[in-house]
Amino acid sequence: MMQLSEELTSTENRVAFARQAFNDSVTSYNTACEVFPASLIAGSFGFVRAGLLEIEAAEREAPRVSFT
Amino acid sequence: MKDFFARQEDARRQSGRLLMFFAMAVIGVALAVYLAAAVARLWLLAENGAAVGFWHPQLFLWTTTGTLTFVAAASLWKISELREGGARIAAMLGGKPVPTFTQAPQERMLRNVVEEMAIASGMPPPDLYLLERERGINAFAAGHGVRDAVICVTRGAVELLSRDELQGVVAHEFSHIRNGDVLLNLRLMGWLSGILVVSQAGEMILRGMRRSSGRTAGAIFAVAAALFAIGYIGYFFGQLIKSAVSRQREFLGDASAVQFTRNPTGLSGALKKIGGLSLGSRLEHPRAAEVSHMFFGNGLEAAWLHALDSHPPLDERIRRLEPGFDGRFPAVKPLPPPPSEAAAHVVRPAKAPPESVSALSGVAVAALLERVGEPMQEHIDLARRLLSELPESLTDASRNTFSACAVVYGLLMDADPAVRKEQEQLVEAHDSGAAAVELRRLLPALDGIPSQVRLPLLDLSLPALRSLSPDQYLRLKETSGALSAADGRESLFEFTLRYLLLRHLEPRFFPLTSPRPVQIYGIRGVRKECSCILTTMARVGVRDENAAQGAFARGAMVLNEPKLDFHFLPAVECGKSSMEHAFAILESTSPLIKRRLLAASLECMIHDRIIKIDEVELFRAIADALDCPLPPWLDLSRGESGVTH
Repeated sequence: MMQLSEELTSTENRVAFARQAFNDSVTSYNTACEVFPASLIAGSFGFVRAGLLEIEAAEREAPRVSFT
Repeated sequence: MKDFFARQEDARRQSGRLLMFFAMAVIGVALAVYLAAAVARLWLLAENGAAVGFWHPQLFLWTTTGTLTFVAAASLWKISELREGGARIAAMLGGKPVPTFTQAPQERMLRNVVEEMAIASGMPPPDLYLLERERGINAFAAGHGVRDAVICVTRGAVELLSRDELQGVVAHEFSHIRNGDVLLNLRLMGWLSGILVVSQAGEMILRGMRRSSGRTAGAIFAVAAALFAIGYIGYFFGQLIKSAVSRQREFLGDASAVQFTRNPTGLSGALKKIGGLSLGSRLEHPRAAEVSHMFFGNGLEAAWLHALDSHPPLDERIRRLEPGFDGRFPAVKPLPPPPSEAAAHVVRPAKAPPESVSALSGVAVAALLERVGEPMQEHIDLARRLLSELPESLTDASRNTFSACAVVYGLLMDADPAVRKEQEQLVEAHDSGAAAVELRRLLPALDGIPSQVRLPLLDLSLPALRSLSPDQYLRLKETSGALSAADGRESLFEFTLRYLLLRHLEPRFFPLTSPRPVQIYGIRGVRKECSCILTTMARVGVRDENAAQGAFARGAMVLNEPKLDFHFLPAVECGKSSMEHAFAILESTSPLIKRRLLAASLECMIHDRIIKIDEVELFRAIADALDCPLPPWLDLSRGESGVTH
C-alpha cells in the first residue's frame, strides 16, 4: 500500500513537472522574443508567441484512492 | 521578495563578475612577476651607472606571456588530472549504485524523486548512488556534463528527510549539473593550482641557489622570493574568489531547485534539518575534503574565515527561501551508526540482484529479442516472479559468501545417488567439512527448483562470491572442477556453469592486464570457431544427426556469407576444449561479428520450434562469452513453444 501510494505520488509529480518544465521553457522563449534587440527581428523570422499548456482545475486533482 | 527567476539571474550575474575578478587575479599575478623582474633589472643595471627606464617592453612581453603560459599549462594539466568521471568519484566516497528497478521502498522513492526532477529540469536522469555509511544529510553531483553526470545522496538524507525535502535536495543537485557548476569548479581549481605553481617555481629556484653569491645571484634570489610571495598571495585571493563563486552557485542551485519543484518549503525544510541535526551535513569519509565543493551542504567543518567557506551559511540560505525564518532549527535525532565493516560486507551483495535484472539492455540482445518477438518488460516481470518463487533459504544462501559456494556445489550435484555420495565426499576433501554440511542443508531446496532458474541462481550468487579470498576462490575452482568431473563426463550444463563461474570470477582474483581489444573484423578468420559453436548448438537441440545438420544449415544461412562454407563438424571436434578455445578467440571479434553469430546460434536454437533448457543454457554461455549478457529467461514467456526438460 505504501508502495502504491508512492508510485501514485510519483506519477502525479511526473505529469505536473513535465507540464511545468514545458511552461517554463515557453515562458523563457516568449520573453526572449520580446526582449529588445531580438524583438525587432523575431517576428519577421517567424518566431511567434507560443502558448502555455493549461490544464483545467478539475483535471489537476489527483484521483482519490481508498484502501477498503 | 524576489522570485526565483530573479534570484537565479542575480546569482548568475554575481558569479560572472567574480569570474572576471578571478581572471584579473591571474593577470595580476603575471603583472606582479614583471614588476619583480623589472625591479631586479634596475638594480642590476644601476651598478653600471647606466640610466634606464622602468618600462621595458621586451621584458614585459617575456615575463607576462611566460607566466601566463606557465600558469595555463600547469592548470590545464591539473584539470586533466582532476577530470574524473562522476562514477569514479562516487565510488571513491563509498557510493553504492541504486539500481533502476530497486525494490527497497526508500531507494524506490529516491529513484522516483530523481526521475521526476529529470523531467522537471529537462535532462536525462543521471546515475544514482547512495552513500550508505554517511549519517549526515548531504548530496552531491559529479561529472563534467549532462551526459556522464551522477547524483549521490547520503543515507542520512534519504532516511531523515521527508519526500518533499529530499526532492528539494535532489533538485538543487540537478541545478548544479544543468548550470555546469561541476565543470566550473573544476576549472577554478585547476587555475588555482596553476597560480600556486608560480610560487613553487620560486621556491625551487631559492633551493637551487642556496650556495651561490654575487650581485646577479642576489637579483635572482630576490626575484625568486618575489615569485614565491606573489604565488601565495595570488593563491589566497584566488581561493577567496573561488569560494565566493561557489557560494553564488549554491544560491543559484537553491533558486533553480525552487523553479523545478515550485515548493520552497521542501528545500528550506531540508536546510533546517541540516541545522538541527548534530551531524549536520558533515561527511565521515576520509576523502570527503577532496570533493567538498560539490556537496549540497558544507561537507566539512566550517573554515576559519567565513570568506573561505564553499557554502553560504544555512540561515542565509533559508532566509532567501523563507524570509520570515526565525533562525531556530528543529532538533533532529541522528541515525544509529552504520553496521560494522564486516556486517556491511555481507549485506551489500544482497542489494545487487535487481541490478542483474536491469542489465538486460545490451543493444545486440535487444535486437535479438525483437527477432524472437518478446518485449523486455515481460522478461523483467518474469524474472521477478521466478526470483520471488525461489525458496528463501536459497536466496539467503546466495547472498552469503560461504553459503554461495555451497549453492554452486549443489548446482553441480548429480541426479544419481551413488555419484552424489561420491561428490559429497569430494566437497569434504577439497573444501571443508563445514561446506559439506551447508551443502547437505541446501540440497533439498536446490532439488526442488525448476531447471530454468539454475543458472539465474548462479548469477545471484556471483556478487557474494566476488568477496571470496583468493585462497577460497582457488578452492571453489578446484572443488567445482572435481564435482563436474565426478561422473566421468562433463555434461553441457556442468560445462556452462563452470564456464560462467570462472569467467565472472577469474578476472576478479587474477586481473587481466588489459581488456582484450577487438582484433578480428572479418568473419573469414573465425570460420572454424563459428562452425564449432553452431555445430554444438545444433547438436544440443536434437538427438538425431540429420536434424542437427538441418539446424546447422539454418544457422549458417543467418551468418549470410555465401562465399564461405561453414562445415558441420564431427562431435570430436567440438569437445569442451575446442569450445573454450572458440570462445576465447571469438571474444576479440568485432561487435558486428558477435551479433551475427548470436543471431545464427539463436536460429539454430529455435529451428525445430522446441526450445530445450539445455539449448538456452548453452545460448547464455555463448552470449556471455561474447560479452553480450543475456536474460536467462528467454524461453519462458513463450508459452506456445513450451519448455521441455
